[in-house]
Amino acid sequence: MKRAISTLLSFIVATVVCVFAAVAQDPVAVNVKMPEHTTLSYQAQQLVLKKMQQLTTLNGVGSHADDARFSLTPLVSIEESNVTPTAPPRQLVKLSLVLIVADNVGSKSSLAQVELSVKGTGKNEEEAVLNALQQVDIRSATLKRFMEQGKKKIAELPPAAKLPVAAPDTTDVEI
Amino acid sequence: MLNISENLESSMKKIILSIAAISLSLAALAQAKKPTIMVVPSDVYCISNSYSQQFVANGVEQTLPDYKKMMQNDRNMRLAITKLAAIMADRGFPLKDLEQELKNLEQEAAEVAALQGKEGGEIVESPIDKLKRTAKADIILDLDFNIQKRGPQNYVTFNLRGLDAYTAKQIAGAAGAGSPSTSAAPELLLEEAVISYIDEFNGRLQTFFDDMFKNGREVKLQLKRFGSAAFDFEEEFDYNGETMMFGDIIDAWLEKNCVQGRFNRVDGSSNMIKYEQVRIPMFKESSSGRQTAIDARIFANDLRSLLRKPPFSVDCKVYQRGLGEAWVVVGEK
Repeated sequence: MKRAISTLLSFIVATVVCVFAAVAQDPVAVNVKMPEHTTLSYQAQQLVLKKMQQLTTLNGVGSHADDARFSLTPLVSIEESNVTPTAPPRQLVKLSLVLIVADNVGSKSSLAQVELSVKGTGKNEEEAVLNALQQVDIRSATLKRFMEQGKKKIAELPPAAKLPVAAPDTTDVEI
Repeated sequence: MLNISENLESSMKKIILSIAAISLSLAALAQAKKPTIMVVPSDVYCISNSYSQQFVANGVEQTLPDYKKMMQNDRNMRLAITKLAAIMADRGFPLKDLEQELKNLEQEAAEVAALQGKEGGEIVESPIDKLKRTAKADIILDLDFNIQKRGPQNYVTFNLRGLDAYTAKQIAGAAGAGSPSTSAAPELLLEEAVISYIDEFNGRLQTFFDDMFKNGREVKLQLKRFGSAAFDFEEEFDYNGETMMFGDIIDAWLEKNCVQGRFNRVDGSSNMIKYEQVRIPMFKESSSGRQTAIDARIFANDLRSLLRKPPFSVDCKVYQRGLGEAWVVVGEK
């Protein structure tokens, strides 16, 4: 009996240790998630995606997992646009880039948010937007503070909240 | 029927006499910073001939000329520009060619993008650098012409304006119609129309240059401020024993440094002051004692030197917009 109880206790302790170890070994994973509706061109979307992936990787939370619990979403909008009557004409845009670290499940709350203002020029609006997005400095102090804030908020969540979401069962999906 | 050859010969004689008269002034102007001149087809010519581009900015649709498309498709305009360039070059003012300048800008953009240092560094280019990569000249020759029909005869109406790119003033103009003809090709009609008015046009251009030498170069000067500036333009300072607002101090400085104290403050607020018709000297004495030609940027640098000293003790950025306009942005470099 005593042997059975001690075995059971050892098993429970081992399981708990493994779970905590798994949580400790697996770093926080933040996946970059583009918004569903965007007016950005495909090229601009790819540029934003690349920059955000570099940002998360630089700050030690990069992930390509679709089931990552946390996501970084960039929201891009044109605040101002001007056209110069020159030879050739040039278009100048001022973009607002809002970055949100959010919890994908549970409360689905925003854990951290920052807004950047970038400007770009080009022969047309698309080129100007690309030029503006290229000005985003992923090593800037503002973005570093933003990512630290996001990681801090994630760290304050209960351990179970940080586990990945279970992958959906696709065995019965008809192709 | 009009004998175009006789008219051309007569006009050429007038032009040669004008060249002699202008040459004397050109010799003096050669030492100063000479303005660049460029023929630019007018907006109405480009848009009415469908050489245009559409833009949407802040929800408003705008139509602007597409100069590249026009140069690639319009032989008549290219011919007109060639003829005009030859005439102006004879007077010692080689024109900048718009078509070649556009090609140079495209080539420059590609080379800037491709150039890399041995350690992998790329050229730094801010949005303002890209914004400034346009074809520029100090004097724009805005050209518009139209080939009209009167019964069986063709004739050309044209409008040529010499515009100061900075002050937006029209410094010379020629407009009219050439002689009609049933047999002459459109390019000959065009040449005849332009040549018949060009000496009057050049006369006015020459008057502009003479005035520049006598009364100073007319430029625009703007003062602006960065958000980090320690004061705005309504701040008061003790200057030369008097308490004055910053804007009034700048007025006093301009009165002292402009030719005959001539300038015009057209607008002002706590964040900006705009001066037009500012007459700056063509030359100034450098620290080595030599007479050096100056433009709006060098003039603005002198103002910047004043602002770096007490009681202002503030750094400024001097932003150059060609020979004839400069901005002094107070607050940081």
